[in-house]
Formats: sequence, structure tokens, C-alpha cells
Amino acid sequence: MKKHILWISFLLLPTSMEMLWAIDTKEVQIHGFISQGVLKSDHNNYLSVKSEKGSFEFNEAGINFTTRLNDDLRLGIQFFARDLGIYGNDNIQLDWAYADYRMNNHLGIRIGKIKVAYGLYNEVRDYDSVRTSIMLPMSIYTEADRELLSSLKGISIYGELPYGLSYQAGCGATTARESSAGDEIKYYVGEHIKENTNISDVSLLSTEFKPDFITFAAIQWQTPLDGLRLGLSQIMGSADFTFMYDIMGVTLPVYLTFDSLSNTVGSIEYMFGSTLLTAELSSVILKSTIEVESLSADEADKKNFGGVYVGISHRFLEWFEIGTHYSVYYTDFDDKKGEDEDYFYRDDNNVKIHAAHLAWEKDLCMTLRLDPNEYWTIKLEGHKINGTAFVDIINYENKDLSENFFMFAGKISYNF
Amino acid sequence: MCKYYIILLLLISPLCTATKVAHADIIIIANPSVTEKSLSMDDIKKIFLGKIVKWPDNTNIHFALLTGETHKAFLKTYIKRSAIQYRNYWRKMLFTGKGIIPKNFPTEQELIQFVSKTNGAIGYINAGTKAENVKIISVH
Repeated sequence: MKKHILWISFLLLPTSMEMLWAIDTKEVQIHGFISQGVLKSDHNNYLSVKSEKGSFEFNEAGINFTTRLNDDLRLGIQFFARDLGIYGNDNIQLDWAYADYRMNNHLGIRIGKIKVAYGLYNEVRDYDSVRTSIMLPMSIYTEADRELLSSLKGISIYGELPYGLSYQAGCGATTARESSAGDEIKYYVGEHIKENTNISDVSLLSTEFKPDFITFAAIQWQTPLDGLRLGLSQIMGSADFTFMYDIMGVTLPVYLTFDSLSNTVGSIEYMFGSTLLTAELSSVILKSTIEVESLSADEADKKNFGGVYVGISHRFLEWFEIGTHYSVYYTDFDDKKGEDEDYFYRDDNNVKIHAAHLAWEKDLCMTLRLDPNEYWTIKLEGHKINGTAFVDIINYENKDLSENFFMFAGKISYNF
Repeated sequence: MCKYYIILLLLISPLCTATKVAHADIIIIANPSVTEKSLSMDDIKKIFLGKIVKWPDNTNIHFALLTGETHKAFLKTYIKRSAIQYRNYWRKMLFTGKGIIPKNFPTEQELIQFVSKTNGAIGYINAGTKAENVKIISVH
């Protein structure tokens, strides 16, 4: 029932093309969007989607309500639902909801559930129509940490500073839920137990996630060169997971702690005329600990991963834009060649097969975007990918994991 | 593949739509309560991108937009963005809760009426348009 509320709300709203951007009751503005996409790859299943067979499990929808109580105070709320393979499944979530009080040009305060600012696109990663490409570069905007880092419940401040500077900073509790302990985390915790105990009869019974604090800070500089913007942002946080495993008939807790996670992103954007150049660099440092009660299988780990991308887009006509980006991601900067034995997948016979290419992804993307009017957007996109860092090796059978593959993405969006 | 892409770019680029209203045809108007007599190009850009929301005397800024060619010319001259870039900018603001879609007026007379009656309001019109009860802001 809950799943259908958002869809029914779209049906009840007027859809005349002559209407203004939204329904304005003079007090509350209502806006929304809906996107439906398709993914098809020639090999491998990408992210959590059955893309090798082709999948339409790739959509987003949102509706928001905003109002001004007075000139300085604005309230707003947005509901959101998405589906990407096994993630989301169209469950309606509260995307953001906060009060925004602007004291002056230099200081504003937001309280509530707030989107986390890092990079150029984290805050808008769910809204297809505000960017050229369908898929954001995974080197910066990985799906794995999306839920942990997309929003927080707390407070943030923002404002304009002299010399073209602007800032945002915030802290609060992460809004991630048990589902944020994605299959990838659960899978590797299970593999860790098997490897360190030599016990293969291991199965996950339950997951408990303890929300923890995250903080973020972002600063941008509108340089004296018209159209050139530089940015630097960082998120820091921690998280605790407790997994209950059945190990040979004995129930044991396994504690996974992200002692510290810091994600630093440097951004450059240059807009000149109808052309947009962007480049971003990300470095994530994750310190984690696994403790397996009653078994000698504890491990502390520190990993540095991330990537870089450069992109360019050009709008040739009001309704026609082309863009391209090249993105490189490494799961471990200290092992870019994937030599560690941890880079493996299991075939149909449950045999471990080492695959160095699980350590990286190099993605050349080209997008064609059409805007027939201000409400509709149509995108067609191709990805030439080397490396399987973001191929789903957990949920779907992989008879023949291919280092090189091509993926097509298509998407149509409606905004009001 | 790359060479075909470059050829496509070169063929299509001359087809970009030209704006018919020139820079010199756009003037900035404000409510008489606004104490500023002139604004920089950068200030105007920040106002219409919602980055500056208060005048130096801490009164709130209310900016108003037109539609059509005058709007496009204003965006190109002062905001350095096309209409679709400007629309996407405000969509980002809207869908992240950081702003509300600015007021759009279909005619200059409606915009002038809004600016004249709203304290702290600012907008733009064609140079040849007669506008009463508003002040003209010079741009430096």
C-alpha cells in the first residue's frame, strides 16, 4: 500500500502542458519528478541490476512540498522512491525535510533531514534531469556508500563569504538503515569468517546497524575567471554493524566497525557558453575492524580508495546536448593491479577464481540528451568499461566474468 | 569513433539559436525602497542565483523574472547561462530543498507592477519600456 502512495499522487496531479512549473496554492509549492530507465550490458551484471539480460529495475520518483512562513524561514519536505536492481525497490522514503532559516547573506541554518554536500553532484544524484549523464561517475559517486553518505538528521550551516567563497557544513546522525549494510559488506564478512576459521558452513541470520555521527564540510570558490568554480569537500563518519551468523549450528555475533571513514573530494567546474567542463578527484580512507566472538578471526584493516574523472558536455541546441566523461576508480590505491587474493569471485561450483580486474573500473561514457520541452528529458548513453569493481558478483551467477564489457543506458524523465 | 564525434560537433555547433535582444536593451529596475543606486554584474548574478538574499540594510531581496526573448537576453548577459542552464540550476535548488522556483511574469507590465509594489524587489525590462514607480539601477 505504502509503495503505491507516491504513484497515485502523480495521477491525481494535473498534467496539462500549459500549466506553470508547479501547482502553487499561493502558500505551498508542489513539485516532482519521475524517471524510468533501462540498463543492458553485453557481459556481467552491473551494480545490483540484471543488466546482462536487460532490466527496467532502474527508476526514481519524488514529490516535494515547500512553503515560506516568512521572508527568512522556509519549510520543505520531499518523498522519494527509487529502484536499482535490489536496491530501493520503490520503497517510499523521506528524502529530506527541514526548516531553513536565513539570517543574512553569510549565514543560514538548516535543521532536520538534510542532504550531505560533497562533490558537485552528491546532493542531486537522484535527480536525473539536472545533469547530462544518466550514470554519475562511479569513481566519485559509488552506490556502495550511497545510503551511508546521502543525508543526515541534524543541523547544517551555509552562506556566502567574501572573494567569491561559499560554504556548507553540517553534522548529525546518518540516516542509513540496516539495508545499508549492503550485500557486498555481508558477503565479505561471511568470506572473512570462512577464510579465517576454515569453516564453510556459515550463514547470516540477522543484521543490526547502529547509526553514528557523520559530519561534512564543503567550500566553493567562484574564481575571478568567469565560469570557473573550484570546490573542496569532506565527509567523516563511523558506523557499527552487528551480524548474527550461524557457524556450524552455533549462533555467534560478528562485529564490523567502520572506525573512521573519511571521503575527500576536490572539484573543478568550468562553464563557458554552452559548454561545461568538470573534473573531480576522490580519496576515501576507511579504517575498519572485524571481531568474531569466540573465534580467533579478528582483523583490523585500513584502505584508501577512490578515483578521478573528467567530463565535458555541450548544448548544441535548446533541445540537444552531448556529453562524455572518463572515470577511473580503484578499490585500493595500494593494489591498483589487483594482486591481492581477496579479489575473487565464486563460479557455479563455488570455486574461488582470482580476478585482478575486480580492483578497478575504467569507464568511458557518452551521453546524448534531448529536451523536447521544459518538462521532458530523454537520454541515451553508452559505457565502455574495463574492470569489474562495480559488477555484482554476489547476487547473480557469473559463469564468465568479463574484464571488458559495454553497457547501454536509456532514461526518460518528467519534471513538474 | 572519436573523429566522427568531433565532426558531428562541428556540423551542429552553428545551429545554436541566437538571442534577438541585445545587452544594451535590458535595464535593471528595483523598488524605490532599495537604497542601492548601482550594482555590479557579479551582484546581479548572485541575486538571481539566490546566493544573495538580503540588501546591505538587511531587507529581503525579491527578484522577478520574465519569459521569452528578454529573459534569455538577460540570462545570457548578466547570469552567463542559457535558459535551460538556469532552469536546471533552480531545479537543483528545488529538489534539494534549498530554494523555491522564482516568480516568472509573462508580461513586463506584470513584472513592473510586482517590483513597484514589493519592498526590496528587483527585476529587468526592455530599455524602451515605460516603467512607473520603480527606480533604474545602473550596472558597473
